[in-house]
Amino acid sequence: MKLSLLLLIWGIFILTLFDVSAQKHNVTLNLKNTSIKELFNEIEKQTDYLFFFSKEKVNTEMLTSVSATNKPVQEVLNEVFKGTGMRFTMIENHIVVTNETATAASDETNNRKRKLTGIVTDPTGNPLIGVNIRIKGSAIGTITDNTGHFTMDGMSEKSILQFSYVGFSTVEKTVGKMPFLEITMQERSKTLDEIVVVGYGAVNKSDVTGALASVTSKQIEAIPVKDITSALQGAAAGVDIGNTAAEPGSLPQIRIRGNRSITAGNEPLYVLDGIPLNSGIAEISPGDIESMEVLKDASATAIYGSRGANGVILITSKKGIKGVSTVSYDSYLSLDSRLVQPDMMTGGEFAEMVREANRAAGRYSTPYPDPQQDYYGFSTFYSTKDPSGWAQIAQAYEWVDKANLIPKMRATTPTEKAMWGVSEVPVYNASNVGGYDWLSRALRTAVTQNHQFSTTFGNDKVRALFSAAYLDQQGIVKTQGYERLTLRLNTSFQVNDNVKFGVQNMASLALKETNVDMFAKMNRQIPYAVPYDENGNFIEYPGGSGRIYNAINDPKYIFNEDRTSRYVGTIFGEVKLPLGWSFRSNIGLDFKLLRNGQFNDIGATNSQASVITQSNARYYENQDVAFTWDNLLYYDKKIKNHSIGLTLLESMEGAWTEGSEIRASGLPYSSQRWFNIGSTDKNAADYFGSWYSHQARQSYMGRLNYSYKNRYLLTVSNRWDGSSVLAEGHKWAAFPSMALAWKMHEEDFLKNNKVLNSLKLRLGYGQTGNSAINPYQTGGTLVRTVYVFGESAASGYGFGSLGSTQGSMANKKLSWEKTSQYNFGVDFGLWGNRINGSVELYLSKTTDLLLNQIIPSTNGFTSWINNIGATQNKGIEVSLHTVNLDNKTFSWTTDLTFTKNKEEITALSNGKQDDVANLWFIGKPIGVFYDYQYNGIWCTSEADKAEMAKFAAKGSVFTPGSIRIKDQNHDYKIDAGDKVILGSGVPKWSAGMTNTFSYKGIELSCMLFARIGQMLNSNYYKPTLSGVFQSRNVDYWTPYNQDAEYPRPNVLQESPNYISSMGYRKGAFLKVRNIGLNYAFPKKWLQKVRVKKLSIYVKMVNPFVFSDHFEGLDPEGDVMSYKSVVCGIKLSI
Amino acid sequence: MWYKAIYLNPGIMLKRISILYFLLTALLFPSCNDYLMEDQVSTLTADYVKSEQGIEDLTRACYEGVRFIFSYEWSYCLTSFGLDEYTYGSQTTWLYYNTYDPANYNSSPSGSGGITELWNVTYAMINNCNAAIDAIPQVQFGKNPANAAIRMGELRFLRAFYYFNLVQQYGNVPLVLKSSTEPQWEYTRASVPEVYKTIISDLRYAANNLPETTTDYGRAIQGAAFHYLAKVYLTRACAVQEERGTKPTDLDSCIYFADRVIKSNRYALEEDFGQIHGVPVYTQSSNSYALSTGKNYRSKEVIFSAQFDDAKANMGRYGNTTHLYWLIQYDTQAGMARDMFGRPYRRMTVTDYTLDVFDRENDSRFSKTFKMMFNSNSKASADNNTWTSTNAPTPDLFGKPRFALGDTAFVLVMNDSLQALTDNKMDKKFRYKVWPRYKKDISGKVVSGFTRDVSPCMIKQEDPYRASINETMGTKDGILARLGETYLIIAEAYGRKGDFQSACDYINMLRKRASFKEGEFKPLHWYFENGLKADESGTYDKIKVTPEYFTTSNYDRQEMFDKVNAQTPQERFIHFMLNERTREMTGELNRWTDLQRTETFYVRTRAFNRFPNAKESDATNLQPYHCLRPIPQSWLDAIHTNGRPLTVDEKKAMQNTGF
Repeated sequence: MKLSLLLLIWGIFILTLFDVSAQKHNVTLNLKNTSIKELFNEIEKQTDYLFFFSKEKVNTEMLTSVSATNKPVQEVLNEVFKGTGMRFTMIENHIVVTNETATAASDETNNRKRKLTGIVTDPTGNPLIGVNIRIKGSAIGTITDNTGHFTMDGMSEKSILQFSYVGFSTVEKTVGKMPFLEITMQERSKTLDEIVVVGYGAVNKSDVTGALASVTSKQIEAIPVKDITSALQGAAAGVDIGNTAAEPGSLPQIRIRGNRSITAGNEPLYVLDGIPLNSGIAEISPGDIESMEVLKDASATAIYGSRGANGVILITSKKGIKGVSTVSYDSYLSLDSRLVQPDMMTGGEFAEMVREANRAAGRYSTPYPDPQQDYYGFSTFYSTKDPSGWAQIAQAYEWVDKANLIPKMRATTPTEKAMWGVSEVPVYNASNVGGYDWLSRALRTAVTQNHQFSTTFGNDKVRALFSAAYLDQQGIVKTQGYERLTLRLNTSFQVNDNVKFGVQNMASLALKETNVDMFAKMNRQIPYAVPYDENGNFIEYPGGSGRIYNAINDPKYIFNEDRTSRYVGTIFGEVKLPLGWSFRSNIGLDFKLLRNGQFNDIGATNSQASVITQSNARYYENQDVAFTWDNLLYYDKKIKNHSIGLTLLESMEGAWTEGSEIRASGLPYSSQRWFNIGSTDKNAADYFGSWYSHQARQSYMGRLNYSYKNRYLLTVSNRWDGSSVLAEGHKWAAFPSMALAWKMHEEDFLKNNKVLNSLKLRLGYGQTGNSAINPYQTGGTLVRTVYVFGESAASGYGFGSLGSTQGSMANKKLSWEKTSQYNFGVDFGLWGNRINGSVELYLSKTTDLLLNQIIPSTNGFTSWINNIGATQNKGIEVSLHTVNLDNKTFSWTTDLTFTKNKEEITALSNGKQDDVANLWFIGKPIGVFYDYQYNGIWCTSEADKAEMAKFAAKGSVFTPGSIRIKDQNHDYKIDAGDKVILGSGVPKWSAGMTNTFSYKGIELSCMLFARIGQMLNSNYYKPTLSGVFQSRNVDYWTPYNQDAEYPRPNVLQESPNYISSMGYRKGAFLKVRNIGLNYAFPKKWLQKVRVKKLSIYVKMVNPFVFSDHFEGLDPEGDVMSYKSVVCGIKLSI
Repeated sequence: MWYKAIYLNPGIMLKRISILYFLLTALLFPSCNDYLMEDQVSTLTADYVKSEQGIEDLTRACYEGVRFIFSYEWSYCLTSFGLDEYTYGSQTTWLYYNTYDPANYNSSPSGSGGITELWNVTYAMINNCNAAIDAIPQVQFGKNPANAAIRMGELRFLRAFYYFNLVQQYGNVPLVLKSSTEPQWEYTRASVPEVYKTIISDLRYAANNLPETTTDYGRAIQGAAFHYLAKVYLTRACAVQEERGTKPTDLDSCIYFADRVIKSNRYALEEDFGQIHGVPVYTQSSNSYALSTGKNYRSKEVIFSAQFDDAKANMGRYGNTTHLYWLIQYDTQAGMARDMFGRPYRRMTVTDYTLDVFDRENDSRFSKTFKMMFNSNSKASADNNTWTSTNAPTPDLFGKPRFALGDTAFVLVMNDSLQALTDNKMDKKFRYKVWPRYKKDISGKVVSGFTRDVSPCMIKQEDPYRASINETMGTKDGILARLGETYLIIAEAYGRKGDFQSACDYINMLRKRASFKEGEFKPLHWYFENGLKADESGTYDKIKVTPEYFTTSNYDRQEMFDKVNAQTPQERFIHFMLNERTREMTGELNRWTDLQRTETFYVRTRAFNRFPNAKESDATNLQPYHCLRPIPQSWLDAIHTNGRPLTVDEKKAMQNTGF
């Protein structure tokens, strides 16, 4: 604010760029009664000189007459200015014009006579634009221009200039006698005097009392991410992010300090430029983000009251900067390919598994491959013939007479003879079994491109930024893709000294094509089979199984497209009131329209066993509209050692969801997809429906910030929230918070400590809430039931239904879910801030959980929503930034984040009793894996037989080759009592580490990310082994391979008994998230082509993943994910 | 304390003491107090029930549950699977309902073949009924005053219907007769006699209050109440080992109510057995299937049925899916393609018992229940199926199609094991493919010619009027009670009283219909059953029953009586009735309750649940205690006693014995 006032006084700088390649100093002029302004223009035209002056002080309308021929500019100006009181200073090719009299008059008391120019650069010599320069102890200041230059006057030789810039250490310099200053600023990514955004305001980082993590645009841009959540992975301690899907356009799951809520949601609240977002962040372009602040503890989030329980992520978009005009273009191209290789059965391995599965059922009589039985089995497999499939198998034999199925024989080895009891067997080589690389139809090297164009402009009245970002991502699974166009316009107007208005707009259009998951479909195809016979004819059931249809044509027939249109906008006004008060009001609008279209053409596979014989389509539209209106009063006052800040908020929010859906089948032609559903030859829709829901919130909040001697800080706040979704009489709740901080380094005993530069202790407590449940749950809803009397529709309304949705039981006492959190934090800086960081300890308790409580179904309902139970999260977070090496040309820094959180349920509806029906256990995280424990495979040994007999006597029948389950209670009966908690999907800890090496313009960075201690329940490890479906190539049991991991295949089983016990795998992994090489072109070269900044980079994203217990799929999400090679360019002029 | 009150309700504080509030909000939002009110727009709340229209809607909602047993895989799992009539087919999802494998079956996981779903859905329906029953006395029926009593009758009929389903599957069940407004946690299982007492009381109320007719076809009417009263009394009377609260008068009550159904003259037996469900008939000219009854047929024999419709909007979540589960893999045979006949889910295969219990020669119900012959419906496939050099009967046929579109493509033959054929012989002899019951393999061993994919195909539930070939949602009404069964009920009651002659009189009414009428077309398999060509005589005389069936041995299928050790006339009669029920009602989703009711579940399943010509039983883990389903574990986990959940031992005590 002060800065802008100052600049009002200083006036407008006129900045022009000149060609600097040729140096010209002399001018030829012949001007009569011309204004000085025109004279300047003329000189600028003829030379490389550039004039700097303040319009307020220099009367440029003054007339003058000059005549000169090829005279140095200096001589000309000396003559012109003689006796006018005006003076000029030439520095390089800048000419700064000042008015002696004006300056002298205002400087009488302070003896401020000096004026100077200069340039500010970063260590690599690149100019820094928009650096704040201020005369220490005064309100006078300026900022650097487009070229990093600045001009200032009104100071004395003893004045100290302060240079500050976001992300850089503040530099102080005594003016002295030098007319020109060259300042080099050192970058500091983690500084204690950064400005950080907190709820409803911004503070110096050193004055923060709560726990927060801040991520800047530099960190966001370090890894080319497609969504802003991914940018936080490993970069913010206490934030656990795990990808659960690899399809383009999907967002990873984010948890701040663990899960605390069981049904009311654990998603943090996102606040974009002050507006809480109601429907996700997928449409925001990471390139538009200036910073993200993660508010973690309740003393920070409590001012978001009922929505703060899961943490708050404040997103600040980029804004225009005063005095700077830039145009920049960032772009990258990414080549994505599969990260891991699932180990599936080859044709030969699969064929052998089929034989073994038949042997187990007594349908294959020889323990070795026998062509007669193979012919029967593989050519009439499940009585559907596929001669081509058989032909692939036949290649493995050597034939005497293929037509009559007589193979070449070979003598058995002694071992074989002993095992099989035959002296000769057919010659068979499993590796010769043919097949088809089905996955080649599913996966590809995908190309992703991202372009971001932005331009900023700013003067004393108006600042603006507009940007356009376009992302086009191909999925590594063919048929999947994501396209997004985001436009942003941020502007603000300073109407006068006291009034300011602004607007932030984002509009976005995203297109997500999921079509068909060809990876899953192709992974199911039988590996020895081929899609086309030798004549090129399509084979419906390759391999002959009547259960797996040839899905190779699905991309032609299956379409599924999401189109999301999103608008998020805020308009705000700020008014300065007398006596240190100010008022701000903002209104935000969040509008999202999701359209889903689906079309399945005739020929599309339906489940996996057949194709649909009539086309069908779905058209679905859902709109989420939300508005927020905040009115804020601020008060700031400083009296001697006391400084007081007060924030008062009144806010109301409303959110609406409505939509419609229609489905039809029997559409006459394919090109219409879902755009002409009315053309169905049935003249009726299969389904149609629409819905609506509304919720409202109303809030008041007050916050007091108080500091004494800038050492002792206190923040106290309270928020009152009312929500429409809760029961009458239980709608309102209060959420208080308090935090204390002690800046120890300001105390005398630490002030001049050489080692410890900064030390701050923080203690906070707060309460937050969660009412993220669906509206209309307090009244008990009825559900529409479908029935018919004769041929007349007889729909009804009841509580229970045979349909998939059920009515709900009214809960007239439904109220908030509350979280209380304690946080203790230490911020420190050592050895000139070579090492700085913070450590946080916290304990949070959530009570009155909104639970979908299972109730005895004899009530007519299987569950209702209720406030019961409690959870607890406690943990430690460490973030550390170290400068390991730093000299003029080479530096090495390390950033480390570590997060350890222990999540547990502490009480349930029945107090400290486990709730087995819901899989909730006291002392365990929410969502554990509770099942039988795998204990090997039963063998034919005498010991095993004796054990099996004991089980059989109690009714648990096992056979050799079946899965052995650990009999936990040793009662020789496998039943519910033998299920135990095997693990949970929640990691014990996670950590991220980034190392950055810089040498001149070259920067190499590498980021590692680890999640340790979580478990996965993966279908990939649960093959059916029924001789039907393709599966992971597992080591299964046979009478000749008793020491196996997996049970014996058997055609008589859909899947082996207790196979679920085998899906639980340790999911710990270490990922190299990013290895990047960035090169910034030196400024000297760029100036010649009038470019401010140019850098290029090559990065590998997710190039490696290391996991001890999980392979074949990405352990991060049990999915097929990808790695990328990215090259990019950043250019600004 | 006043400050606490203000703290918790800032509205008071801000309104009274804060000028700021007035400045910023009171002026801006004059209607603040309503702002947090929830308006029900697209939803209805429980209060809606307390209106006449609400009762009407809720009563209709109570009917939805009668569709349950025709929905999804629950239908056959809970009624037909793992019993004497059918064993598992080749595409079995819920195999453990046939094998009773304790690893899966005993824990009754949800999302399974229905043990948990039946429990949950039925109690949801009972809660609907209770809510309406509770509300009716408080509601003024202004539009149709007479409806108050009628709806009450329907609701009590439906509640009885639901409890009857529960008690026959689970035994003792909690008896909930009031609707829930907030969760109740403590439940005990009422004894079976108590449940039957309630069922009878509800049904008697219904019988007294329901009208004789209705314009809403499918609503419960008096005849339905009578039929179910007869059925419930018979069930109660059947108990020997089980305690059902049997009264000496139960058989007489059964006869009384069955007789009222029969004498009401509102229902009549179909002339032709095939007209009850409709037989899928192939028409060569259009190469398509239709039912012999036509579309939307309502048999005059039907007393109560679950209503389905071909309008998609009326189908609900599943439609009638029973058409899927019995179908054999007809569609991949030479000359065949999948068509409107149906989707071959192949969940079940007939047992030897089911094939042999029929007098296949003289009892037309066999050929009207099982499809044995299929016509080629795919020209492409028929054209591809050519004679080869090795099997062509004459050299000039080599390379020519064996048959044309519309010709017989394959037949299933009920041959004798002694005249078993070899594949080679059949291949040369018949243009069409023959699937014999017995055949000889290369070594000359007699093996089953039927497979779990292809065996005689039960067609009662087939539905060619579905929207498309692969549509799972069926359109046919699901028959729950029909006059044919009333006859069987009354016959069984007389027989159990020792009056075999009266029993035979009623059975013979069904037998008369079951016989081939004079001049009636005989199906192809007739000729394999020693039938003579051009024999158009009626067969009633050959299948008429007499009391000697029960009193003298060597009548009917003696070897079957031996297998279940039925020696006394009463035992023979009971098993005869079960055999007769197979012949009359197989595939009509009654089997579980019939075996449970007659306490023959274990003995008959053990004796007969086996694949044709197999030695081993398919019900590998069968135990006598399987005659009841396990109580869903999720329910046991949820209930409380003394304000706390049950201990492991208490749960075990609450569970049915054996599980």
